[in-house]
Amino acid sequence: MLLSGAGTGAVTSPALVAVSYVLGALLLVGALATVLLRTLNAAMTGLVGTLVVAGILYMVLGGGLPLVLVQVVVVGAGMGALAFLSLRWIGSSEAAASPFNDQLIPAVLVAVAVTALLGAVTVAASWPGATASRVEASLWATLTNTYPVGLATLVVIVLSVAAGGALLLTGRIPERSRSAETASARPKRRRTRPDTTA
Amino acid sequence: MSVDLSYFLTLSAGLFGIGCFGMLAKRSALAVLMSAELMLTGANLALVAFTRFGAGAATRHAPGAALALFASVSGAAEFALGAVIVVVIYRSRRTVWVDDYDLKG
Repeated sequence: MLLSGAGTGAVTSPALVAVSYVLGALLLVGALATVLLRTLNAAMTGLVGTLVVAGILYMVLGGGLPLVLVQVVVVGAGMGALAFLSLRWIGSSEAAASPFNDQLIPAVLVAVAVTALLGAVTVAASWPGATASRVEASLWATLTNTYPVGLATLVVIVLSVAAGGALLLTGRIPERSRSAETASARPKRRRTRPDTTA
Repeated sequence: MSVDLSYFLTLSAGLFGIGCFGMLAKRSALAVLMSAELMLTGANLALVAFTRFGAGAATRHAPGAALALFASVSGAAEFALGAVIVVVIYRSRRTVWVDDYDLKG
């Protein structure tokens, strides 16, 4: 098997081990908060915390400064855009409440099954712990030398998204359609929960 | 006491599973988008962990980190565009609930 026997040494520094465990716990708590909290602001805060903790974990793992910077940019730009768009066009009261839908039980089952499958693959692969050198921050050189086409594609994707998003937001939208009237005729309690609903 | 690849992969699986649950269980399109971001972060964490502990670590190249960077930027773009689409649909249909979306009409 390709992965088995190909790994490098484990992290043995007591400080790094402790940091890894703390960050891991924070990561999972933040992810659970993102999913379980029902207000948009709380969920967004949970997601920002999760992504920031993931960026710190990248640093612990030696992922390279560019990756951490990108993570920070993702956090800042993504969450800023979400907050701006939701508050500007939807309003916090409309976007805030997010109860679970009717597929709650199947969703739990699917999520548990996916997690168990990933865990089983992890255990069955029995990752080894041979000693090797730590990866240094040669990420930018790798990107520019080995993946120039990928980098250019990424730039095109980002520019396309920016242009497409701007066009979508500035375009004329039919104000209300038949399905909107149908949706607005549904019980208001489904869309007007207070922000403080937990 | 030590941490190795298994720990980070377990963490990644947990993050992916939580995101999967949120994506299937939440009704708000914005919450679904955020759950997708969680799943993407879980996958990225696995990629970075493979870079640190996996087969490519000894070569001092960073293909996993490069792939994670590509995935992060693509995910951010997808997230932003998804949020814009949700806003556009909201302006037309006045709802963010995915149950109320009927894109045929």
